[in-house]
Amino acid sequence: MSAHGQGRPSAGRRRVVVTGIGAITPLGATVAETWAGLEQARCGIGPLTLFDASTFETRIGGEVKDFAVERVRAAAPPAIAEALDRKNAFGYVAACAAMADAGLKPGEGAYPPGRMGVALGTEGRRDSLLPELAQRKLRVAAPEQLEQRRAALAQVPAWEYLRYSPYGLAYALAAQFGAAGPATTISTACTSSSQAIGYALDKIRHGEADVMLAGGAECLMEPTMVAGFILLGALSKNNANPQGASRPFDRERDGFVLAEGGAMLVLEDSWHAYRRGARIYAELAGFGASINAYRITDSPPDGQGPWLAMRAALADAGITPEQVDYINAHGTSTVQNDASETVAIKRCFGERTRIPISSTKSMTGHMVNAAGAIEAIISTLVIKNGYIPPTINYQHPDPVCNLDYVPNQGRRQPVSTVVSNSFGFGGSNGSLVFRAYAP
Amino acid sequence: MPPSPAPTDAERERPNGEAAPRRAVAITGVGLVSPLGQSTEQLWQSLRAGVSGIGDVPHLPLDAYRTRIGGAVRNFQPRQYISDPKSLKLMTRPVRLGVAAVELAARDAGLENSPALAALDPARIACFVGSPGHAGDRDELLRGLDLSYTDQGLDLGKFGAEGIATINPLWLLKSLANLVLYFVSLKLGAQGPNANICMSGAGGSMALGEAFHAIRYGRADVAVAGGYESLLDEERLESFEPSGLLYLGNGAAQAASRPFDRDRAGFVAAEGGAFLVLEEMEHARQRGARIYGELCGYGTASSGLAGRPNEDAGAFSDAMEAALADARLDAWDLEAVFAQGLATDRSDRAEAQALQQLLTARAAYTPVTAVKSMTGNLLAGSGPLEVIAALGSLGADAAIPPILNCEHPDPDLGLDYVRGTARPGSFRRILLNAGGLGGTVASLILQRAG
Repeated sequence: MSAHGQGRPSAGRRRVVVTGIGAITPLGATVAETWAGLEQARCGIGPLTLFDASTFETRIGGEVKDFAVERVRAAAPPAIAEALDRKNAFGYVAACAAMADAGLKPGEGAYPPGRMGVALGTEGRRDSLLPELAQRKLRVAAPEQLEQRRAALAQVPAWEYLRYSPYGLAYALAAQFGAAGPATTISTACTSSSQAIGYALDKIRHGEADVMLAGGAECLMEPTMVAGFILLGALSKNNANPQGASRPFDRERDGFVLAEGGAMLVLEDSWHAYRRGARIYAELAGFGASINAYRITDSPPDGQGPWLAMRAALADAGITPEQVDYINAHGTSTVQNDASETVAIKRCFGERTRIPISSTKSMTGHMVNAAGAIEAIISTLVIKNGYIPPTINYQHPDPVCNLDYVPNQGRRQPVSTVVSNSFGFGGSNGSLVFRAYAP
Repeated sequence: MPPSPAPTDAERERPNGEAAPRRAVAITGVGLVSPLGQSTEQLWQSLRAGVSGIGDVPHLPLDAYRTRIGGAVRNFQPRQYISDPKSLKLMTRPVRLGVAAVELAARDAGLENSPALAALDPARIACFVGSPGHAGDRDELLRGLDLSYTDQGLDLGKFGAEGIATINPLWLLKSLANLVLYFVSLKLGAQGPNANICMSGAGGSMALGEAFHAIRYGRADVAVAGGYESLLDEERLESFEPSGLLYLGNGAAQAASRPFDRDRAGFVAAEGGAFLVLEEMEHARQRGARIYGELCGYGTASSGLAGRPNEDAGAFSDAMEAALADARLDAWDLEAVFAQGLATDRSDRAEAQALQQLLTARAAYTPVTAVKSMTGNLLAGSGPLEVIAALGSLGADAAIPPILNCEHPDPDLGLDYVRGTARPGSFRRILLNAGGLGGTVASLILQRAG
């Protein structure tokens, strides 16, 4: 018998539904704006403006526009504001929107504190390493400035470490919403928030929580991080055409485009949601995780790890491959990911599968730690709205990527079951299954 | 959108996931690289004898810091554990400590070149790591930065044009938050359930708990899980020096860490890694594996409070209650407690209050110890290290190690602290707490196998 595999009885276990969504992305400051962008097949990628990247080999990205972290901090309770840098502020804004969307307010008896938890995919990073390194340089150069340094450290707020720690956002959201149940932060690069959503599913199923706020936050628009990705050769260099740079599954693809933002879902035990009369977007029916045990930055050419994740997710949801109507691909626009993912999809769904597959990263860019969460939100909206967003910039068919990638034009059609994929550096994979909710 | 349809009868019965069968989970391998040595025997002996692992820190010049002591791993020779030079180049010191502990745990469980491992479906091997998250060596950026300075200060144009090319191209990969998880999967050829959990001092215990549940509920048959972290690192010391949580004194090193003592003054920065091999009980028995004990309960909770997140008695209470419920046990089934014992004023108070509430009258005679009095705080490494420590106290002729430096137990925090010398006895079930600096607590329950 296998809990996340064959044989686990689907009747009689708690079911988990999505009752709230919130996001801030390169396509817009809300879920509605982001969705409108996807419907218009709009691209959120442009030249980097957050710092002077004019001499960088890659100088494009998916930035969140007109965002002032100070405004968010000013509106948050002080002890929470301390934990908010740009990245965490994205997560905070998305979480507030998701909770409002779900109609959940702390302290109003909707959930006892211990029955709500938080599961996030994110990382801890300094806002910018450069000023700190500059300080450090000073210190190396002049050790006699020790006292000065000590005095500077003495001015740092006691709880500032939360801002740079991977668990700082989990602290902030648990405090904001009075959530005293399970809290976690998972950092598996591009798979983080997909695994966080899987973690939340498990906690609700096993009765450890009734409500989980799950999602991710990301911000990589900082000189040293962009430099790091450039050095790995992972980024598209298509600076001349930012809007055409992210071209998943296209033969001319040359790397991914970094993006930033936050995306959060309110997940809830279906009975709990029913009792409080909540609106249900979709059911989160299954999750599957795997790890490649292969190369650190590459998916295996045989698609083994991604295939295992999809297979486990389908088994967990108790469905067959034939029941899937749409796949929201990881589709990063790197030569090697898109080929490996195509092989994996064929292994799972058949060599000639006609399931529509699209990569919304063609429009949002790659939100890395938040990618799984924004794509989970998109997957629930595909079901709710009956619209499959396209893979834009698809112009040159690649013989090794020969499935239906919904090129350039979205499709209006009823969709009841979606698989959403995330595969990351370090080899961790996560696949989620969403279904139209039917009791 | 229309209102939600009514759930089915099956959903309404809400069986709390108990529809899934529960399998027993054995601990069949342990590995550690710690301030108290790099072997289980040495750890157990030191703890029982009340020997401290805290002293000077050979690998890090601490002249610039307010404290000059820590729980450092001594005589650490990475090549003893990691043979591939290319892998070594990717690893900073904390990652090496973690990977070394993984290697030791796999060896201890007899998983190296083992037919038992070869016979397993790779998709049934899980790996869960509690880690500090994004790290990396900031020094590797300094050269690129040097080149990018002009009279006006840092010139990003110059950094982009000339600086970047001088940086080690592996810099970003070296800072990958899930690097140890990657190496665990390689080591075992594991392709199953996995996560890299970054929840500070709770992370390692959460990794163990998640691995335990993955096996219990049938998602995996074998798992490697644990944690690693280092506070003996410039960036981390800078982050925590202002927090008021870190021990900043310069008294006698061995007396610095004082959990539950009246004069406790914060946690001592330490480093290390500890990993365990978990295995479905029947699988372990059939291959004749050494069974150290059984992991039978896991619960986690968070404070949900703004302000001082790691000082909330409620989070300790909720996590311990959840672990007991998970194990289907009651508080009176517990025979000893390996407390978090962070040695900060308020955290120890919160934990002691929660333990008093949980144990009620039994609080007077349930022995409580705190390993951090001898190791300092390894954050994500501490939970798993303390589980290995507690495995040495499970059994018939066993003993609970003392809390070092608990000379004057705080009179407000009345519990049966083990002081002075180890407490002999027979211990069937031990509760362990691990708390994170973001307000999350994870509790685990160990029991003697069979």
